[in-house]
Amino acid sequence: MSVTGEEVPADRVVETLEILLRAPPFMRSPKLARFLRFVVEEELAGRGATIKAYTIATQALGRGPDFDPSIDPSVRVEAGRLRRALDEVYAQHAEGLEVRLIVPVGGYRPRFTPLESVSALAEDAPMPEPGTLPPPVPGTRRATVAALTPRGQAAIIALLAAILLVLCIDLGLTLSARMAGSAPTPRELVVRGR
Amino acid sequence: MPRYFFDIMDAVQSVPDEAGLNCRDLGEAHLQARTLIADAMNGPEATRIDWSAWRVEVRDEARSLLFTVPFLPR
Repeated sequence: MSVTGEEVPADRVVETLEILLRAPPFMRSPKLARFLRFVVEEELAGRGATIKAYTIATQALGRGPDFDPSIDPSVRVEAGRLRRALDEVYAQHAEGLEVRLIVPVGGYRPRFTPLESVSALAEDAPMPEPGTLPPPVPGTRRATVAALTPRGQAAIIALLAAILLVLCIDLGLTLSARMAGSAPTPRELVVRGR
Repeated sequence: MPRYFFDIMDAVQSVPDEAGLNCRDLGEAHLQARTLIADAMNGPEATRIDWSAWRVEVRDEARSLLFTVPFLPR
């Protein structure tokens, strides 16, 4: 078996194709199924460069040799539907699919990417402990903002008010002590008077 | 999710939708219609197609017409 440009073995692409063709969108639309099978098989056969709107229309969609892609958008329209159908299958019916098959916008040649490379990366990533924050992504700056809830703001105001009250009391005691040191207390006056 | 169908046509040609697409609501169906239009207009080959004559008719599962999206805004 040959190997595709994305290093996906052709037999795995064929397996993927057969699974895709059994998915609901392609079961509902024989036209899309023929489109998909044609472009994948042509690509695997090494004829990807000859996949054009005309070849798709005449060899996969049953159009006659008079098909003119310059005035008939049928293949462009079906290509868009094919992309949406593939997206739907990979999102909702991905069981058993090991290869991601895409038909990039602006062309009809399919591309193949192994799906496990994406899932393996996700599996190798350490799972964060519950309650811990994930590490920051390199190259990105996280803005740290000290935001307080209204309850937190009230607590801080109460704390500051308490500190101010203690300082006032302390100041008052200090002043009264100094005044007491300079002027005789009534008891002292009584003693001196004796 | 409900399934919507996106039939594409001008005055003389029609490209009916066989498969349809699952969309959450009419808003997503409208987005899908816009995506289909963008895909069709960005094909690899040059065309002489008068896109102003083309439109997408969005239909529900009973094939009742819900709304129409022109390829080019009027």
